Order: sequence, then structure tokens, then C-alpha cells
Amino acid sequence: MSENSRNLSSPNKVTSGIFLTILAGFSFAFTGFIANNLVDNGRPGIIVGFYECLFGLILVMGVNIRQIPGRPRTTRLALFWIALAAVGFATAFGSFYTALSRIDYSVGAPILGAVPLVSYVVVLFVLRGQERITFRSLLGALLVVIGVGIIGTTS
Amino acid sequence: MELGIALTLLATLGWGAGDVFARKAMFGASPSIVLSSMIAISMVSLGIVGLFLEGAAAFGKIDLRFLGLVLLMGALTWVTGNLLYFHGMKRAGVIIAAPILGAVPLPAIGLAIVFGNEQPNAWVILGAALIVLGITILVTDRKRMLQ
Repeated sequence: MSENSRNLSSPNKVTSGIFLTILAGFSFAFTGFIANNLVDNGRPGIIVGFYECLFGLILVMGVNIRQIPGRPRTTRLALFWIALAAVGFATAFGSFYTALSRIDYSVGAPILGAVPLVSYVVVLFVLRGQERITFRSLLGALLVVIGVGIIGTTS
Repeated sequence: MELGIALTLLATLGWGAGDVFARKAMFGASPSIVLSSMIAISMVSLGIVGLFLEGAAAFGKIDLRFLGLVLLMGALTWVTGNLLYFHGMKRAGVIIAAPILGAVPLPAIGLAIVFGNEQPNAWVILGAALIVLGITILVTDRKRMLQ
């Protein structure tokens, strides 16, 4: 079996990935709703983000504790990308929660719908040769962004 | 441009780029390790920025309601949110997963209707329809992605 064919995902694996992502989307929507409530009551967005990460770390460590002894080795390159990703996420949480104290959640959430476009642009540079952007995936992403844009500008 | 909008756009850049960087990291580490390390670094980063912008006292102004809600947020964002998303991204790829997550405004509007008693107008329904169509195209493209 070639290296490429070993790396391919089965349709079932992709479907389960899509299902997990949809569940994640609902979770994020609820989080934004709660964050909006907290910052509207005078809590600084950065402090909300800090405590959210603190409890998140405790919970994730608790969920993954059994996997730690047998975890595969992490490369130095992976650590570099992890650090970059963390900076991106910290910037996102801090700035979005701070933004919610100035704008409504119904205005801010649709703007975040443009995240796929940013991801696609970054994919062109960072994941070249590892993930492919097909015409249909680009069309689908564009429709999602247009839909989100319509909601954002008319809500 | 209003500062709130500018900050939200900055968040969009952070999330969009962070997703791809995390996916890149997964070629050399498991999603669980990527996530745990990322949360720890994000927490320290937000803590340092919070100290500078809000002062140490802001970290102490907490009550039970606040603790309960951020605990729920921690679970929703990092356990059922990012953990599921990272496993989803590992299985389906960022090209498919990212746009699906971009449809978060749909459940957000649902929450506004259910808990905020808001009524969506025709434009919101049109936007939602386009989002659903876009996701349908992405989902039905998954076999092509495997070629």
C-alpha cells in the first residue's frame, strides 16, 4: 500500500468528522451566547477568556488523562505550529469577547462566518500539498460566507 | 469602523489562521496534545494581556455565578467545541470542517429566537438558506476530496 493511499480518509471517517464539527458548532454558538451575557454585565472579555481557558484546560486534561501515558511523540515542528495556533486562538477569544461588550452577539456572530475564507487563504500557504481546495469546496465556502454576510448586514 | 467590528474581524483572522496552524500541528501530534498545549499557551497569553489591560484585581472579582458560567463555557468551547472540532478536522480535513463551523451564526440565530424571542426577517432566512446550501455542497464533495 502506498503512503498516499494509507493517508486517505474513508467516506465514513469524513462523515463522522462532519458530524463532530456540527456538534462543535452548536457548542461554540452557546459559548458566544453566554460570553455575551457575561460581558454585558461588565466582565472584561479578556478575563472571561482567561477563566474559560483555565477551566477548559482542567476539563480537557481530565478527559485525556488516560491517553497521556501512551501518547505518540510530538515533533518540534508540531510544537511550533501549536504555539502559532495558540496565539491565533488567544487573539480570537480576547478580541471577540471584548468586542461583545461593544456590539450585539447577533451582529458579531455572523462576521465570524468569514473564518472559512481566512482559513482557505492560509491553507494556500501553509497546507500546500497536504489539503486540496476543489471548485466545489470553494463554491460551498463562498455560499456560506455570502449567507453569513447577508445575515450580518441585515440583522 | 466601530472598534467592536474591528475586534471581531481580528478574532476572525485569529480563528481562521489558528484553525489551519492547528491542523498543520496535527501532522506531528495527536489532536488531544495539540488542544491541551494550545489551551495552556492561550491561557498564559490571555493572563499576561489581562494583567496589563485590566490589572491583577480584575482576576479576583469572581462570584459563583461567574465561575459556573465560565466553567460551562470551558466545557462547551474546549471539550465539546474544540476537542470535537479538532477530531472532526483530523477526519474530514480543514477544507470541509472550517466552512461547517462558519455556519455557527445559524444556531446563534436559533438561540436568539428561542431565548431572545426574536423574529428573523426574510434576509436572515435567505442567508440561512445559502449557508445550508453551501454546507450541502461541501458535504457532498467529500468523496471528491478523497480522490
